[in-house]
Amino acid sequence: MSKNVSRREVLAGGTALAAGAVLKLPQGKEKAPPVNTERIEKLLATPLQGEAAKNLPDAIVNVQQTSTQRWKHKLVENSEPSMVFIALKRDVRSW
Amino acid sequence: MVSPFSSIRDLSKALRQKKVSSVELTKMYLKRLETLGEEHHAVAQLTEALALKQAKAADNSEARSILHGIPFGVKDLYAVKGYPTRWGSPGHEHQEFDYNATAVQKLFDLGGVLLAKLEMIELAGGGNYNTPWASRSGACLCAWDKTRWAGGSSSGSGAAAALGAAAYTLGSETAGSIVCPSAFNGDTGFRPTYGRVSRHGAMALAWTHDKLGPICRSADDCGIVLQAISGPDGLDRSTIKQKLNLNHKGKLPKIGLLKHNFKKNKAEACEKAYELAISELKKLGYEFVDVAWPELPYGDAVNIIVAAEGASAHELFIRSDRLQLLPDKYQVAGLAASLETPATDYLWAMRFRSDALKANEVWDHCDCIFMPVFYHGAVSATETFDKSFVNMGGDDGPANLLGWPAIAFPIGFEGHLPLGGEIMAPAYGEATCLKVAKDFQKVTNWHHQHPPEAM
Repeated sequence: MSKNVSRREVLAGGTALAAGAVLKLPQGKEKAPPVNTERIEKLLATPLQGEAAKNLPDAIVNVQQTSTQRWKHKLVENSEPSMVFIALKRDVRSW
Repeated sequence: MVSPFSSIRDLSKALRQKKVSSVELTKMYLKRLETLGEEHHAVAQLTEALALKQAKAADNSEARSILHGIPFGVKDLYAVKGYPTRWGSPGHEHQEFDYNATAVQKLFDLGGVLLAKLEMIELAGGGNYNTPWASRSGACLCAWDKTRWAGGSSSGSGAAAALGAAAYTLGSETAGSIVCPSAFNGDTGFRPTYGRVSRHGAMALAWTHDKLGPICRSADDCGIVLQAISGPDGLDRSTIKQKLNLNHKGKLPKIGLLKHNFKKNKAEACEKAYELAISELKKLGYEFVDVAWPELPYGDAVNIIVAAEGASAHELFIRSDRLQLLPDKYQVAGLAASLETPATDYLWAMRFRSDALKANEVWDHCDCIFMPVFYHGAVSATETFDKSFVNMGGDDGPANLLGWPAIAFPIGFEGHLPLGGEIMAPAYGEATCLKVAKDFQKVTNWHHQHPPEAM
């Protein structure tokens, strides 16, 4: 189990996922360097307002943290993405 | 004598014996949805005219199935022709589809009566919501306590089933959205293997994760409904061609147990319920074995896939000014940020899925796994999750990433709030899940407990 569980992980897909994990909301406001929100703002029809605008840097940091976190698990060089989203029968014991 | 909490088999029998009509059942449930359902913010849209028309037709025709004439509700992410399908979002207030979701159509073809579209977390939680009120109707309230949340994202389905406001309901799960409301409301909910039920006409959050399944009041009901809605569908190429067979044959399944830290999570009631459940199953002859799956970053992969696929599925909406109509401002920001999910991250996650198949080694030691859904009962309806979900636990393993099925069912109480347990099995293992849950419910009474307010 990951010890650094983000809110994204906890709430992904509609419910809590992390067993016994300490919830860790992004703390981007305190010491973290400023987050560039412009790239995303440009994609949106209108700039985010109020609380949503305040939350955007943290949300971006969340994406970046997940990106950093996933890099710790190295995959076999040149492995291919799975295009079968359940375990194939032959992968499940002898059934 | 039928009651709002009667099983599907009992309702069907009463209908066949003309002890009750479908119109009478429909009116009874509609009334409960209008009162209890509305009070709990569980209703997105009543489909009263359609329901009464279908009920009359059912009363005047030969029974086509066990579900003939039986009223049900569906999460508001299933398309129903002639009614809005709002996906729980104030940003989709006027959205309508001119066709029925395959699962809904299958139930119609079997004589089913649709009572209502049921409320849900907006966009099934895409973008990561942090509040119970991330829904166009506000927080959907737990059937057992209106100061608590009904769970998500199939919130209304969970509450309505527990309140006896429908004979059964349909929900959906990407990563927890059936088992969570089932646990919080004391329901029995069945998340099938990925591909078991056609996703056609259901909102996509993450195409490679989304599963549709029933939320009912017993395992037997879940089996009946899942059998009815499963099967291949030319409109959803991910559906499994193999027919669902829910009859378990052979030896009793061996049950795996994962490590849990109840003490650290201050979960005395849950520990007691969990141990009692194990003891009941042991009395039935079930064997248990301690198991563990490889420690891999399943959660990171799920997060990335849900973010990337959700951002793509809902890009038009995210980039529109309607995005800011969503009440949960964490989710608004999360959806916007998800547009920046790197392609390399997404493909890492899809490659990781092959690595994660190692987790199937756990099935060399057992046939299914039993675990608590959460360590505690339903969380507050007024607190953000970063505060309320501390010590809750939950499944952070490979199950959703690998499309494993699970059935959640009540195993006890924490004070007045239900506690849920779940049986998960390898892909295609629905019969195993159902066998264990049905056996458990034959010797326990938890699933027959109903919210006092709804009696």
